[in-house]
Amino acid sequence: MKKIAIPLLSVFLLSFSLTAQAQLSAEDYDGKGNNLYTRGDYTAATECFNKAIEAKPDYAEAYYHRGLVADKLGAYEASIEDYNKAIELNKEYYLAFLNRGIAKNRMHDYDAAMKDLNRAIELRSDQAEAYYRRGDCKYTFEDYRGAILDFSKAISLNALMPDAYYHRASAECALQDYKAGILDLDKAIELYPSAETYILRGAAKKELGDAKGAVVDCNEAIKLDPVYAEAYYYRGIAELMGLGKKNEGCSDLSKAKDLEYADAFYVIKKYCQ
Amino acid sequence: MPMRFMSSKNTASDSFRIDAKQGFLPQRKALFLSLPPSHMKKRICHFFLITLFLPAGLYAQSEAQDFYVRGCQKSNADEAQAAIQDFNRAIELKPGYAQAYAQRGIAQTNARDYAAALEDFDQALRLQPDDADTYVNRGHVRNLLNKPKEAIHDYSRALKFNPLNKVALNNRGACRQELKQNRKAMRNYRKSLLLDTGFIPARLNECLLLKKTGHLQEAKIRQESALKQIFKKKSNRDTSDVLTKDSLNQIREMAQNNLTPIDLNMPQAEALRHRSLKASLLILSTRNPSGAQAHFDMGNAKADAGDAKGAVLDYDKAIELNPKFAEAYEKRGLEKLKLNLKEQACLDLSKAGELGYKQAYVDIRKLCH
Repeated sequence: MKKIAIPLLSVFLLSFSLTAQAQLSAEDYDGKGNNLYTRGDYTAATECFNKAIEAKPDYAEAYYHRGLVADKLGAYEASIEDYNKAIELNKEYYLAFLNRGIAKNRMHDYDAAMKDLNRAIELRSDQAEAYYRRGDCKYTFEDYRGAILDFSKAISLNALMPDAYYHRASAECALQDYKAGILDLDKAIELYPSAETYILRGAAKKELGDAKGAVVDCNEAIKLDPVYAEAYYYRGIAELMGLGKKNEGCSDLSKAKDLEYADAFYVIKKYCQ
Repeated sequence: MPMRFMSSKNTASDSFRIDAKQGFLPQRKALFLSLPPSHMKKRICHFFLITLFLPAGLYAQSEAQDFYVRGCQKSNADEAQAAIQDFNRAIELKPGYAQAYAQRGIAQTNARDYAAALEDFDQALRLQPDDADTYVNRGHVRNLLNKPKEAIHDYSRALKFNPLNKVALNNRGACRQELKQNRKAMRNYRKSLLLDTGFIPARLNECLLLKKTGHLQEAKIRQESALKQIFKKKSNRDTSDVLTKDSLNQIREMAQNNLTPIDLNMPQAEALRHRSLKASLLILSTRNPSGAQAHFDMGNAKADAGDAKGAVLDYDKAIELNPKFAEAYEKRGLEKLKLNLKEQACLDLSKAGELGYKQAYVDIRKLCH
C-alpha cells in the first residue's frame, strides 16, 4: 500500500505545482518582481515585470515598476519610456509623474521635469518628495527664492528630510542669508551628519566671520571623510585668512592640492610662497 | 487667401493674443501674414482682413482631443484637407466638441469651402454661444461671401463678448469701408489701434483710408509711425528668424500698396505712441473689462504708461481669475521690481518660471541675485 501511495502522492503534488505555475497571474508576477527588486536582483525583477506585462498589457503598475528597475540600472531613457506608458494607462499616476520628473531632471531636461513635478503636486499635494524635487529643479534654474519656498513646503510636510534642509541651506547661502542657512544645516546635521553638510556650515560660518567655528566644522567633515579635498581647502582658507595661521593653513591647502582641488593651486601660489 | 493671423500657441485656456511691445513670445510662431491671391485682390486689395486661429490644447486628455490637436497642427501647417479629416474623427468620437467645430470651420475656410465653414461655425456657436473668436471667423467667411452687412453683425457680436478684440474691430472697419461708410471705418481702425498701437493691419488700413480720402499729410505721419512699429518689433529682445521674416513681409505689404518707406522721425512717432496710450487707458477704463485676458491687457497698458502700481492691481485681478496665467506673474514681477518690492517680485518671477514661462529664469538671473 505504501509503495503505491508515495508515487501517487508525488504525481499529485507535481501536477498541483505545475498547474499553480501556469496559473500565476500578472499580479503575482508583479509582486514577485517587487520582492526581487527590494532584494536587489534587478535582472530577475525585470523578467517578472515583462511577464506581468505580457499577461496583462494594460497593467500600469508593472510598467511603472519596470521603469524603476531600469532607473536603478542607469537606463534612463528606457525608464522614461516605461513611465510614459504607465501614465498613458493611468493619467493620475502620482508616482509615475514624480519619478518621470526626477528622471528628466537627471537627464537635464529641466522644463519637462518641472511640468511633471507640477502635475505630481497637483495630484497629491500632501507629499513632501514632489515639492523637494521641484525645489531642486528651481535651484538648477538659479531661482533660489522659489526653491526655498518648495523646500519649506516639503519640510512642513515631512520634518525628517535632511536633504531638504541641506538644499534649503544651499539656496539661502546663495542669497547670502548665512544665518538662516546655518540654522538649517544644524537641523540637517542633527538628522544625518554628512561631510558635505559640515563643509557648507563651515563655509557659512566663515562668511559670517566665525573662522574658529569654520575650522571645527571642517575637522568634523574630515573625520567623516578623510580624503575630502574641499574640507582641507576650506580649513586651510579659514586658518590662513581668518586665524592668521600660515603654516597650518598652507599645509591644509597643499593637501587639498594633492587631492586635485583646482582652486587650492591658485591660493597657494598667491599666499603660500 | 486674405492677410491673416496665426497663433500656434498651444495652451487651451489662453485666448488669442498678440503683444507687440513684448516681442519675446516663447512657443509661438508670432504673427504670420500672407499676401492675398490674385482672384481676390480686386475686392480686398484696399484693406486687410484677418482670420483668427484658435489655440489648440496642449495636453491630450482623450483620443478625441488627440485628433483635435493633430488637426490643429496640420491646419497651422496649411494642410487643410488633412486637418479636416482629423477634426471629423474628433467630432465623431466626441459629439458636441465645440472647439473641434470651430477649428474645422477654419480649415474649411482655408480649403475655400465656405458653405461648410459657415455650417461648422454655426454649430460651434450653438454649443458655445459666447465664443468671440468664432464670431470673428464667421464674420470673415461672410465677408468673403460678399455679405459685409452680416459680417459686421458677427463682428459686433464678437465685440459684445470681448470688447478688447482688436481683430474684430479692424475687420469691422474693413467691412464698413466696403459699404463706403468711411467715417465709421476710420473709427473702428482707430479703436483697434488704441487697444494695440502696434497692430500693423489696422495701421495699414488707416493709412490707406486716409490716402483715399485725401488726407495726405496725416497719412504720411501715420505711415511713419507704422514703419517705426515694424522696425521696433524687429529690434526687440527676440530677433528670431520668424519675427524678422515677418517684418519683411509687412514691409513688402506696404510697398505693394504704394506705401514706400520714408525716413523715420523717431521723436514724433514716440509722442504719438504716448498720446494713444493715454487714450487707450481711458477707453479701457470705461469698458469695465471682465476676464483674465482683459485685466492683463489693461495691466500692460498701465505698465507702458508708467503706472506700475495700477498695473500690479490689474495683474492681481488677472491672476485671481486664472491662477495659471504665467505671463501675468512675469509682468507683475517686473512691475513690482520697479516699486522696489524685490522679494515679492522674485517670487512672482519664480511662479512664472514654474508655470513654464522660460524668460522668467533669464530675468531671475539678471535681477534677483
